[in-house]
Amino acid sequence: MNALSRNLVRASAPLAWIASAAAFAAPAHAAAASQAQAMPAVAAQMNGYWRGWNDGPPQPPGVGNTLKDLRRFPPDLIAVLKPWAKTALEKYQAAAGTDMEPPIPDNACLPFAMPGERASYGFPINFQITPTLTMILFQIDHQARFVYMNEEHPKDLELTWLGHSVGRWEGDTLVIHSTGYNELSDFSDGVLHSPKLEIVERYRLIDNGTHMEGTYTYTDPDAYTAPYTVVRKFQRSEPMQEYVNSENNQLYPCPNEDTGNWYKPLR
Amino acid sequence: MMRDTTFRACAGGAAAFAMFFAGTASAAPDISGVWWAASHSPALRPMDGSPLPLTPEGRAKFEAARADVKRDKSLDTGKYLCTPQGVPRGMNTAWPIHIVQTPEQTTIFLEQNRVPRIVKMTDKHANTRDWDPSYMGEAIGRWDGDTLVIDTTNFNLKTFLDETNLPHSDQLHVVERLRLANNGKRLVDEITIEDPVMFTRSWKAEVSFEKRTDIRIKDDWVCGEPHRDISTVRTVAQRSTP
Repeated sequence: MNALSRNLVRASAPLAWIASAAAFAAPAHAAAASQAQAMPAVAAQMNGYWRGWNDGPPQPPGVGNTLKDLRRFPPDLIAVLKPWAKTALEKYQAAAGTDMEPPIPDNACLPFAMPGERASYGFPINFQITPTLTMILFQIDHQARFVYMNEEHPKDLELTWLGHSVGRWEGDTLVIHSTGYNELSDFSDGVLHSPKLEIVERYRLIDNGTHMEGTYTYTDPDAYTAPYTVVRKFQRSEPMQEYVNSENNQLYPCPNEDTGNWYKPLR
Repeated sequence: MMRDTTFRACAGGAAAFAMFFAGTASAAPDISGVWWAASHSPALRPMDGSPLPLTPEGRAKFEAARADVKRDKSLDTGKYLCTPQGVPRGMNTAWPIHIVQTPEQTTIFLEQNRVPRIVKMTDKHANTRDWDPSYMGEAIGRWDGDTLVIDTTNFNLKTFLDETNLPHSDQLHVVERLRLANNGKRLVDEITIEDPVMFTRSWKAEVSFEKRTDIRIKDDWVCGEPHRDISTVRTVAQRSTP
């Protein structure tokens, strides 16, 4: 799949942005009990393949096919960016308005920012839930997340592309708390964050189990003036196929054995 | 690569899931968690010590592949670009793996090149005409007593069987038998390799992993970046030529 068709795929499966200013309450992960927690019956129904579901109005032909697609830059998110993060986004948007899409982890074969709100676009993701570990697989660039159930984050957390994730059940809702992200990743094109970024994901089945709703709340006191929440819906999907970015991606050189990662975000 | 396929409902339900974890189903052994080989050989060779049963064509392909990669190392994309390394090479790894088991799927995550290997727990391969050949192939699994049998076909031609650049044809068929040993502290993967273009007969190799509750898998491998220290993994020297 070349860069053009990738953008078409993006445009044809826009995110179901439903930004909200809902009050944010950080879950008490620090107080998470160490004993094993029983999984609700819905865990088995959540297992399997999902893909982003756009229940908004169909887009007219051509809309969203440009790099200026506003869906990538949700106003509610931009509204809470602190000045430095806003400047970084403006630099990205200015570059994106030219012929050449600027480098982002997405088009440079680097790990996708988490969580699945933007990491799946329209491609399948796969939930594998067990009592001690929830694994979430992404078709895009053969990526996997490990969510350790009923655990706390380690104290000396190493910053990584995907951060560190812990999970627990609140009734029938799977709640995932993540932090420890490096400063290279971006969870929406050109939107940066600090090492203080924390993400809370809440997944629950809706519509009699035919759909799943994911609510994502981003908190970063160094980058955002307030928490930012977005809701995304998923529909059940066919199994994922293999998707290897380094052979599809032609915009920027992929890291290789000699070069390693060359990417630095615009700031 | 992407093809529109009609929605197929995910079969199976809560009952089967609950039974699986209660251990009251067919009592599939628990092979989940982190495993790490104690030793590693870049060359995967017959475990009985016999030479590779190469056909004349296979020998020529092997020599050509070795010469090609020696001339241009980027041709070994599994090493140079960190593309999925295929099977069995992906399993013959010096880095840890993490296995996750649910009733319908066994997932073997390979830390090296961050590759999730999805094994669908079923008896039959999908109609492979619906699927493009892939690096990791299409893997299905079933329990034969206490042994997980993984049958993988439909590979693309971009991978090698091992780090010595032993190639394969589109007729590669790999059957693995994974079983616990040493009171559950070791996982043994007996690998049968069949490829009538490359080999005069099928042959068996073996890799094994030690259970590691003291480490966690790393999920963000980036090519050319520093990775986990693998100096504790003993390198086993084997002949790299047939």
